[in-house]
Amino acid sequence: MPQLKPAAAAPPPTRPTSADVELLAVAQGAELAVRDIYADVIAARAFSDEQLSVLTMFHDHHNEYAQALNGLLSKNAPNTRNQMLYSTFASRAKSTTTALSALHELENILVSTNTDLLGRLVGLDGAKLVASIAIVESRHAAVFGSTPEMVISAALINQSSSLLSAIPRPSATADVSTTTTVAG
Amino acid sequence: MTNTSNFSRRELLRIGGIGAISTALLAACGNEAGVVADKAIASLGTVPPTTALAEAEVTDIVLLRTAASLEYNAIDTYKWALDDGLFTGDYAEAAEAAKRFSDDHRLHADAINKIVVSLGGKAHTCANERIDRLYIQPAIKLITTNGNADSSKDAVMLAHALESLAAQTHQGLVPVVMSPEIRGEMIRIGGYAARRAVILAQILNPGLALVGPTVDATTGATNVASVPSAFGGLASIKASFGPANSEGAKTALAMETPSLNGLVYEFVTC
Repeated sequence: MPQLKPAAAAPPPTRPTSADVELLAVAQGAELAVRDIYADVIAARAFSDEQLSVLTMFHDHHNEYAQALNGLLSKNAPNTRNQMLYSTFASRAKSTTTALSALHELENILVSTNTDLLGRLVGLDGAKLVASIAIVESRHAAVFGSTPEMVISAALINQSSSLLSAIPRPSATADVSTTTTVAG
Repeated sequence: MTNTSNFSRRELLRIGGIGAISTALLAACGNEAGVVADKAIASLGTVPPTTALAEAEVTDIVLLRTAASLEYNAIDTYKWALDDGLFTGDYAEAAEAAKRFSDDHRLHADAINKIVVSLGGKAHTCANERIDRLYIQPAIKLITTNGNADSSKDAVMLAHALESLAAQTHQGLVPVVMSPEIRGEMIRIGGYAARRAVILAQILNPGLALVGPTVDATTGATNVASVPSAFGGLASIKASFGPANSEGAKTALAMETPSLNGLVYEFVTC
């Protein structure tokens, strides 16, 4: 094994910066909104037991994400859902014909938001948590694309926008292009 | 009775102590006098010249080159499975997926290498040798063993394990890379690997019943799940391949994300 030298640059902070706190609060509000929409869909009892089992699992995951963000943000956690996101999807979630496609779209929105978030977060604790959430939300979205029948492109493609689009980015810290569009 | 029999335990210890002190004193005198140890006494042959290890810095460039190398591991594995016609029968659906996935991996490798070059590094355009040697080649050997009735299923299992490994690697790189922009790109690409893992999990275990974590009622083994946990984990990925033994068990491999001796340092070439 080669002799290792530490990288020259100073390591990033572990705890969220004040800018991170603002961004992570948006993420928590989104998780709570999606959790509540899952709860509405489950409460309607319009799906099979197998479907309800998966929907309940995903609902619980979003609840865990909101709780984990609450732990990270502590007293700065808003603990309130993103009402605009909830209202936009609430009516679609009440119809059995559109509920699953609404949930699919919501999962993709969360993936886009968390990916965008990771490109902005400075503190490592927040980045680690959001990365572990975004990977599984990608899986959630793919489940909706691959069941009840397999449609590979539906499982892979994500054309949703980030909820952080309205929040301006701080000036770039590195000359890195993140605008490549692959896999859809 | 001899004289030695008259030595008491205390006298033996005293004589031994004098001997040790004398030896140390003589050695010290020898050093002071410039006596050089005779190398011919204890060694045979010549000492070969040593080669200094290359200095390696774990930078964003190295981590990104490692991520690119995993994309090529997947490309090579899909090519092998497609060329060998392994995706057949119940797993024929995997052939279409493999072609699409292979193209996506190439695009992702290009996207990662583009960042590598923008940071001043050299693009890495081949597979990770250590991952290939430790995991992929042993799995292929097991899959292609004569008498393996599950070669198609095992090939999908290998693809699923590699996609999961890629997703984990990208997730694991997030807190290690220095630039937030690169972190975002890592999770974007890692997210696609996670989606591909779900598609392959659905080919292995279709339907909703096995989306979450479950256990095979007969064997007690963990089933391949589309969503195995609430948070993305970084534990080793276990997969079984090859013919089953008399007790029905297959050979299990535990795959882990590249560690320090699996990184593609800047001196590593294809």
